[in-house]
Amino acid sequence: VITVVLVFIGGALVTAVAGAIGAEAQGWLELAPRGALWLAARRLPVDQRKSVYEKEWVPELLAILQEADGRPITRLVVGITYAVSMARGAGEVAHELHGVREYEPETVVYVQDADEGQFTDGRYENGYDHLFGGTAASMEYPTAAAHFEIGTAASMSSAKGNLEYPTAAAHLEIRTEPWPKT
Amino acid sequence: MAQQFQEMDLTPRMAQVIKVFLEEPSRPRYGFELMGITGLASGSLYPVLARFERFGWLDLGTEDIDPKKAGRPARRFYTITGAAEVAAERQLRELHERFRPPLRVPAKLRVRPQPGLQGGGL
Repeated sequence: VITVVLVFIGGALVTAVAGAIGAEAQGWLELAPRGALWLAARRLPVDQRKSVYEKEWVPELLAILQEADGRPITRLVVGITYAVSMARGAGEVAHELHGVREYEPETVVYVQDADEGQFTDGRYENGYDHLFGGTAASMEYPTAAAHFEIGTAASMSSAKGNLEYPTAAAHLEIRTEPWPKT
Repeated sequence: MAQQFQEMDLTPRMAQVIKVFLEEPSRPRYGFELMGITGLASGSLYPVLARFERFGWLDLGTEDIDPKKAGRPARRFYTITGAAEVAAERQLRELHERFRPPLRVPAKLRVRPQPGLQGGGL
């Protein structure tokens, strides 16, 4: 009886450990395509990485991986193939996009009702809060010097007043990212 | 910002990619989709897309999805510009003319002179 119990416990332990190792391995394998793509992006100049790597390559890779959801080997092979091949073409992409894709700082616009909220600790609270993020190019507004999206701010302000609270004043807060470190 | 359109000569690989855009000019195309259709690897396709972008042949856009619902960020898509559509069609026709095999009788239908028979003996 003791032998049977020991064999049962041993079997359960082996199964549990094997499952844990499998899960650990799968976790690492999930990271491999992303890591390989990150390495490929090191071949891009710093001012292109956001536009090319973060906004183009990574979303495409994640869509590819999502499509192969539930098939870990396919995900790994397709993801790694995409990333490794990209490493070969990265230099050429950088050359072609030199002077075309310039760094676009992310502009974040907060619009808040001044009459509804309270100004606490440097922020309005309890007011309606609208958050918009986007780049100068994607928002398609005229961009002033230093990529300051004043056009977006004015547009948001008027939309806020017209649609929800015609007489409300709005608190606008605009932030732009710093230039990336080389 | 969209680039100004400039003429350029298409290489066979570029022709292969732009042909996909010409099939449905208004349809946005995604990188992985183009890889599947053309059979090009990412390292070959993306430099071509970058060149098209540089010369104002392609416009870029961002997929209209809610990233939270989709569980992933929005992808970039590419559409062919009006000027590029005209130029690409013209160049593809020229390439087709240039590389079309000459008109001649196929080898298997050609009558070969038989050994021992002399032509023009009448």
